[in-house]
Amino acid sequence: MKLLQGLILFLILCFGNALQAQTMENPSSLGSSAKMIGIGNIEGFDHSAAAVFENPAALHKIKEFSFSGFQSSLMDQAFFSNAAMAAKTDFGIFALGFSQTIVGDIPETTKDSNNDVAESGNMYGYRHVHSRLGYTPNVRGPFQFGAALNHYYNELASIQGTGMGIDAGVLYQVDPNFNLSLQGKNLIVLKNMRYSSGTQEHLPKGLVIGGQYKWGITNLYAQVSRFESRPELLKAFGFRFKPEDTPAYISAGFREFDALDKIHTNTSIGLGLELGFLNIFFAYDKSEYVEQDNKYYVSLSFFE
Amino acid sequence: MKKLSVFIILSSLLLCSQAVHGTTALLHSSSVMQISSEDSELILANPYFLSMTFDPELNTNELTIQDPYMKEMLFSTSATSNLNVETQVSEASATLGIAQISGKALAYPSPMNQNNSEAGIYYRLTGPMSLEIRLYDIKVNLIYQKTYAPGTDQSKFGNNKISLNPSDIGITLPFGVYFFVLLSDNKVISKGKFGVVR
Repeated sequence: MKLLQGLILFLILCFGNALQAQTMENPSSLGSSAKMIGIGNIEGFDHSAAAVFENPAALHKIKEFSFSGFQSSLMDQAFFSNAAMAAKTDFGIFALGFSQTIVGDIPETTKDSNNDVAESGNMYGYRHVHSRLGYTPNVRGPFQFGAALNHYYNELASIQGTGMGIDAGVLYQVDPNFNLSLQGKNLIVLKNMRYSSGTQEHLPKGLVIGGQYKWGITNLYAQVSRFESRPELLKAFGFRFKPEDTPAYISAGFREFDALDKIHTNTSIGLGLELGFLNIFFAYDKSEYVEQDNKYYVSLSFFE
Repeated sequence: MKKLSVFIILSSLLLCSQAVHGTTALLHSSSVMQISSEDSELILANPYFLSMTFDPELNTNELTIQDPYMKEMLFSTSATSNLNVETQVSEASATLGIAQISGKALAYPSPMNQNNSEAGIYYRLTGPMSLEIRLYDIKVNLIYQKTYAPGTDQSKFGNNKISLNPSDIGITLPFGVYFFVLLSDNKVISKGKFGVVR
């Protein structure tokens, strides 16, 4: 317990004096799976390969191997997808995940001959790829540790940029019904985002602490997070209700999140069908877009 | 209803004006382009007649809007070139109190360096109108919103620009894609997307 307290204190000190610098926007923070979005984007308690996008210490729950996939499109313009696989070996559990965001047909513009009206010409596209290599050793006991290497790739028109960082996470089983998750995002920055235009952006650094409490047939979740770009703690709550002897569950979540300089809130609802070899998840949350007041997410996992 | 009818006809005329731009030969000395959408119940209920006459000797282009029942000339204008039909229609719209966006709003430059002094959303209005801009990030989070009263620098007749410089909107946009929506009276009048590079 003292080790965990010491680690939390260390990480809070690390982020206490965060610089107010331009930070890269990470589209993959939309969510790693519909299951996670359905409980308010609370991280660290997934049992599938999708855990590689969250707290890598949660990969210890992989029994042999696992696959997961996620897809969503927003406004019919931005397409999000990810895929992950994880396997247990004698040397620990390894996982690999790719998350991609694509927007196409963005008009390139010029000024007209009078130099006062914009005109569109060719089209260009945007692509963001977040690759993660996760690892957790085969350790028994209440503490589990994990780490993940992040590689970010941004491409817009003819400009590309890459960056690399390392996440670290701890899971602590306080008792059979109570788990704590602690994760440092881009705790170690190997390379800030460097663009071919010669400019840079900081990688998004953050600290996420969450808890899961099993109360009968209901799982309760709570999380606080802090990111470099904001001094405030962001809170999230969720629950998952799964009647005994049924593979289906319902969930709901509430979260605060940061979007540039404002804190936003959102609520979500999730549905799931967990058959073990195949698990299907669906989530819904409200949208702030004027022409589409809701967003849908679908994800699958195999061999959870 | 009256304004709506005129609006519909003006929209039709705008479309026709595109043809005029490309094929001026269609308008010869005896031609009178008359638009009265008799298929539309709205127009039948209140049929405005718009006519455009091109005089090759004077090289003038006359646009008139007339209410045939009232025998009232609502609007008339002439210009020395048949290439500025759109401008005449804009003037007609403004005179009759019908404002709309002409064409599509576009971000310039795109890809955009936000520190470029010209960075902004560009559009043309056919008359002063209340206007609201909403800016969304790639995850559809509303990151900027502002409303403009009719007649301000961003909502006047003619060419308008909403600056996206960090000093004007108060935020520095990270590398990525952003979506904008222009609204008037809570109705979307134009939308688009642009990339921001650093």
